[in-house]
Amino acid sequence: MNKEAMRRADFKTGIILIVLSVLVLVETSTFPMTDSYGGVQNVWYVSPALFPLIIGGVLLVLSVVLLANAIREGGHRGGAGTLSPRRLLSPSEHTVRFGTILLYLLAYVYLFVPYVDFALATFLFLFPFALSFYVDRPDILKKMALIILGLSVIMAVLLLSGVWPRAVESFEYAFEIPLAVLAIAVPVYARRLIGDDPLLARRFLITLIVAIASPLFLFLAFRYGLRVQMPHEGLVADAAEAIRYFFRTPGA
Amino acid sequence: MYVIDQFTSFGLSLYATLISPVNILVLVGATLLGIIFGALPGLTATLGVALLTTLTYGVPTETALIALLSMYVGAVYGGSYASILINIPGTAASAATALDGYPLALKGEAGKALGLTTTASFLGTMFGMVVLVLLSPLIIDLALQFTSFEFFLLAFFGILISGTLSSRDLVYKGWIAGFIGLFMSTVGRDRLQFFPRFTFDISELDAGLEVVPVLLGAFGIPQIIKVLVNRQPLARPKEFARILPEWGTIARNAKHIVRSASIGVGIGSVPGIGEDIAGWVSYGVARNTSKHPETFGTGEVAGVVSSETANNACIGGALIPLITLGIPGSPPAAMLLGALMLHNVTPGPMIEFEHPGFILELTAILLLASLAMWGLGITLAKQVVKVLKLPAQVFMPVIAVLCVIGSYSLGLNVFNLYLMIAVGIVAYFLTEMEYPISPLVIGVILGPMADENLRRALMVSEGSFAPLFQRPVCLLLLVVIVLTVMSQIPACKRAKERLTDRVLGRKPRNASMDVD
Repeated sequence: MNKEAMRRADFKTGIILIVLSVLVLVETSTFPMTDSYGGVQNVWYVSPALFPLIIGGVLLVLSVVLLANAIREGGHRGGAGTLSPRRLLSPSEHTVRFGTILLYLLAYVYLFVPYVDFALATFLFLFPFALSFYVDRPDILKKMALIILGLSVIMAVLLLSGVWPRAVESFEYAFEIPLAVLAIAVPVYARRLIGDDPLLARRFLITLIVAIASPLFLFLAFRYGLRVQMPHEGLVADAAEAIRYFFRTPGA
Repeated sequence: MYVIDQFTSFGLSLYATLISPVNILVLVGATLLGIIFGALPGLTATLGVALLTTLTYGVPTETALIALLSMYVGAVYGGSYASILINIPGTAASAATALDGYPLALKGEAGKALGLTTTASFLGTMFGMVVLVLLSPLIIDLALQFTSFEFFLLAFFGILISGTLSSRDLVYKGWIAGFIGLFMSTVGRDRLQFFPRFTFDISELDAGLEVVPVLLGAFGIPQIIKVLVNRQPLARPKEFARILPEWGTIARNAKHIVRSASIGVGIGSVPGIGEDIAGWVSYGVARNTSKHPETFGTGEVAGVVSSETANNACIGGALIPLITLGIPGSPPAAMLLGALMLHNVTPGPMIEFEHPGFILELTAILLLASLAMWGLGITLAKQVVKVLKLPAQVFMPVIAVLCVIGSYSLGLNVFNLYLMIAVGIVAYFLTEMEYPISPLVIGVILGPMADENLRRALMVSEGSFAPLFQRPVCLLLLVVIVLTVMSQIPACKRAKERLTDRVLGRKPRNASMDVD
């Protein structure tokens, strides 16, 4: 970031921080000052508000200084253009890549991990994510991101409308089976997109191996090594459990 | 007598660690993992320690400590591989090493450079360890006199100094980061009255923000985003034949070793700034004091030795305030503190009462870890550098998965996951705007200490701030804090310049010299 862009950013963060510190101070003012939590009379210096008041105060001063400095160096000018329709329609490559990364991270953490079997969720995150950046071809990046975006929207709608929980209640794998099919379809589709470029084909293979091996390894290591219950255990976890049960020596 | 006593118990500590095959395995394994972690560009020592912490919830404290310290030592050293062989620092700590290490590799002396960094890192770690064990008891003696006021000021001092020294843009950006961290630490029920602060009736927030997810988010996510957003070409590591310890060259550079190690320990012991700054400062000093500064940057052995000795010496230095005062001296040390707290060990002046022999145990582990690091470096470097061929685009997404599972497995709480990713994204924007992240993390860790001690102090003094000015250490800290703040106010800066100009009899400097 060059200095001008930095001051423009400072101008915006200055305002955000001022708002935040005022909010901190407002919220703190609702804390008991001279009475304690239990309602007993108390003194100001034992109040739980004391420390947040100091922090909010200092933060307010510092953000005003930040804002003042930004204005003095011209940071308040020329910042409005950042949200013009033209820039929204044709974002820079940096923005596209950043947006894609954010999409994958958010979809993985907020949608996949809590509601889908850990190994399956991780594959659905890892494979398109790593492939997009390793193969590094804009069309693949875009198509993979669209798949994940579509999937996230569908999942979000199903979860918010209550269809997901109800369906899972009647049949545990109601959504995991379609997702497992998707997990097979995505690599097949990606392989067709890549065509017969030997370098990219090699990268595809490496990504595929890593995306299959690491979720499985992590799942087994955490589940059976460290005995950590996975956030959601479904298809793969049950399969692993079934296999373990099958091979378990009787009486052990 | 005291020295002999200490020596005997040190030997016993060493023996106790060595006797267990599991510990030895963990030691060697974690060191190797650390070297690999350090060598891979984009993976830092802090992230390594943070991710490893998530694996050590369930193991005994001693084993956890061995794993984490070995990881720390290995990762700080491992960064030099990438610096020398592909001219991309494996960790920020080794950034200065690349300046002379890579030119050496270009001359076909990569093996020599790696041998030098291996031995220099080993000597640096040992030096830091010796200072740690000699100085800690003295500081603890002093710190036992501290009251709540001192601890409150120390916490503030730590955040302020770390913010001041780690900011690359405006100094108060570091302070802002620190105060954001302090604010985050107030979320949850306060420890004296159990009043819920900023919890907004979300029950998951009652216990406060967990340190491990916050650290994984703050250090992991920005790193992942940065590496993937900016296209990093996969570099071809330079070839080398074999690695020798290079004792001869080291002996000839003895003065650089001693000076750099001292710089490293010194910088390490300052709260919140760590190996990267130690490496740069030491390199800068070596160049400025050299008789032939023009050779620096063209493959000067002294440059490589200086930065690598200092960054490893920094480890011992960073542990000094951590153990004696409970204030982490570097970002990985902050993570270490988080890990220790999970194991119910609270570092601070009381540590030797609560856990007798803790410092010596730590020292023994450091000694063994540096030995393991040296041995692995000399024998396995050729194999380890193969990891440099791994594409970052593939392993960074895997690191994201590790951050996720790591945050979750603490307390099996999906909420920590949401927290981790939210903190991570905010931290990414902050780093993009050149806010340093370590003051934020130090703030999160020291916040409860500052809060509790302030109120406890005022309770004892019945609301009076007078002790701040009556107690010598308080007064000293207060003066330093005020001076640090004043030095950033433009009016004071100008006044100071005028004053120094007058005192030194110089002509007034151009007003545009002001950096405001």
